[in-house]
Amino acid sequence: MDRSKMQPRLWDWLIPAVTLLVAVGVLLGCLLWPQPPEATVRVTAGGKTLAELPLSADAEQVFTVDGGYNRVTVANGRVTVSEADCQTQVCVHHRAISRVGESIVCAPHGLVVTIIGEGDAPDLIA
Amino acid sequence: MKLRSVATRVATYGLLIALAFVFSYLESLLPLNFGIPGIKLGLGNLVVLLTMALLSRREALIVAAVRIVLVGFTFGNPYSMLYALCGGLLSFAVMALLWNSRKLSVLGISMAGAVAHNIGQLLFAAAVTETVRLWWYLPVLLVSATVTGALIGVAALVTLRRLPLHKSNI
Repeated sequence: MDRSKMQPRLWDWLIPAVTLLVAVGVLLGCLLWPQPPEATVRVTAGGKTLAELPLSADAEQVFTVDGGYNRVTVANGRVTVSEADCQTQVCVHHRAISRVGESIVCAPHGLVVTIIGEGDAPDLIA
Repeated sequence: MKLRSVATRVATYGLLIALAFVFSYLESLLPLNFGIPGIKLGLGNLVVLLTMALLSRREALIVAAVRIVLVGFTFGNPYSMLYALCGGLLSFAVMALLWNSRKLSVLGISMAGAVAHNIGQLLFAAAVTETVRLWWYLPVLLVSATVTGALIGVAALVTLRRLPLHKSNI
């Protein structure tokens, strides 16, 4: 084999350097993005909107989707998936979200909980 | 190293795939997720990296793909398999491409592979859930990928140095 691959190089650190730059850039972009005052919690599955709940009001709702269910809890302006029967439980362990643009994804169920801003309505007819 | 006969080829593939498979299982038993959901060490990639170093990219691709399909059938579902394939194949493509670089060692290639893996999975999640609002999670995934990628890269370097490469003749 190519023995030059067995010796760490200074060039290797170019990879994390570039990655961290991109990460900081994305983070700054997210933080500096102007935030509309009224936020809504939108729950979608497979691209279809199941419910929209105001972020300001405490609520709890169970969503039945293909392959199971997810319980979404809104409390004190923070949203969590408090319970789900998916295999990974990634959505349940996800920290609470509270800012516009943040989302919790339950990949096995294709369910997405997103906080959207006021002018972000999907359609004006429905 | 060259795999000369069909028998050594079968035996070597079996060994490498079994190792990658067991690593994936170990990882599911001991989730080293550093307290962040969706993060894992990527022990399976250690075997792919070592295969690339000891044999070639062709063998590494087979090990990577077969491992994901096996793990998908055994521990997951078709959906989680597709999800894993997206990360795994993008990761392999980036690592195979960077393997040409004379400036990078296994360490840098491992980190790049980990980053590509996480980007691939995020893209797949964004496509399936038809949402582009996953930006928030990208910095977390990028930083954790460099950390886990570095750990796997160091493990690969240490392993390669300790293998008696001059004696092996498979």
